[in-house]
Amino acid sequence: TVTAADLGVAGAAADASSATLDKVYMPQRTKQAVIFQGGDNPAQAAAQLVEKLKFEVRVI
Amino acid sequence: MSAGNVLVVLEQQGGKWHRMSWEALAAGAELASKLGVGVDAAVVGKGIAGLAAEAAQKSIGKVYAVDHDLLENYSADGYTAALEQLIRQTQPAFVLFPHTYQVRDFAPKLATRFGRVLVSDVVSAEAGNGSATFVRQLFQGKLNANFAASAGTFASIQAGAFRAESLGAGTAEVVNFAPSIDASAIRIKAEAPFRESSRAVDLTAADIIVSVGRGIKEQDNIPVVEELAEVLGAELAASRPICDAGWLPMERQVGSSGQTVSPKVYIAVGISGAIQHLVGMKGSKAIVAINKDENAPIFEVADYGIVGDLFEVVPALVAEVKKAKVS
Repeated sequence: TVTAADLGVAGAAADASSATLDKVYMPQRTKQAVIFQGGDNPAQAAAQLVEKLKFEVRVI
Repeated sequence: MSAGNVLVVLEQQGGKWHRMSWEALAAGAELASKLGVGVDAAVVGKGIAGLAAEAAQKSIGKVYAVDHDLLENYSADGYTAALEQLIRQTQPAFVLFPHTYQVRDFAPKLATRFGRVLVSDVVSAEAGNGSATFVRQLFQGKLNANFAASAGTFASIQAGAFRAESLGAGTAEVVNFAPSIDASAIRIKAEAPFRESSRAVDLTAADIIVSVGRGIKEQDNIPVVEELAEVLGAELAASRPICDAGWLPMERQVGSSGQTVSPKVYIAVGISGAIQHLVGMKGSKAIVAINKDENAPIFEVADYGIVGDLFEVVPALVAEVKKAKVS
């Protein structure tokens, strides 16, 4: 068994870390995609997407 | 280490900037603003006056031109020695880097010189009262972790996490810094850099990129996506598994081990959205995802998406794009 003291990182050396883990959490989604359901009607979903690409994103 | 400005170490190779340098500088400017301090930059190399002058055109305080013959070629020992001297002299509040392969090589060593840690691959930062909180992702982006950082912490910034366009123009002061480096301290002698193959495709210059992932299933299906790229006037790209399988050349790979792109539109077809891919494209102005799994992580970064079978959706898209172009 190797301890933190054996590695020279116990006590003051460990306590002096400049960054400490504060919390772990599920990220909040900040982006909400506009989703078109293409399962039943891929042609309709495609048409809706192309409209966005043409008039909002302006790449067509 | 007393509180000072935020120092951002920019990266150049062979006189050319690594594009992530400006994203890191934008992160530094934002952090400095929240701390109520200034932001400075450092560029390391030999004969870098021109690069320093270029960096000085950003809205920052100073640009430190860390110039030395032994820094002409990158080495972890050389860069660490030079930057250690600069940091001890300038005593910045925080030191930021772009999260590049080169930074991963020397920055932990540099941080250790000061008894500090490197918080790597940071996606956002908050600050107040002289301290900062750096956020990094865990488990392929499924979780976030906040690290409370005291003054003197080092951090590297994830590709695409900050937008370089947020940097304003300015006239910063260029300060020449000549570190003292002994040749015997550099233990690795670099040979001449080389490319495995010349790149015929520059995805970074493309306005529209259509990218294909494992959802395409077989190499013989690639033409389905190629046709979409063709009607859109787009470049074709791919996630790593596609290139590793040899279905498309490696130069078309987007991701942490491929190219980092920020086109007007990035259309991800059959790509799940693994973090290694996202870091290469999330800086795109608009992201479109096509995937049959509505829970695929790619939809979390997309602006628009179609949940459906790509073998039905993509041909329908091709038809609609053709119609839209003539209307």
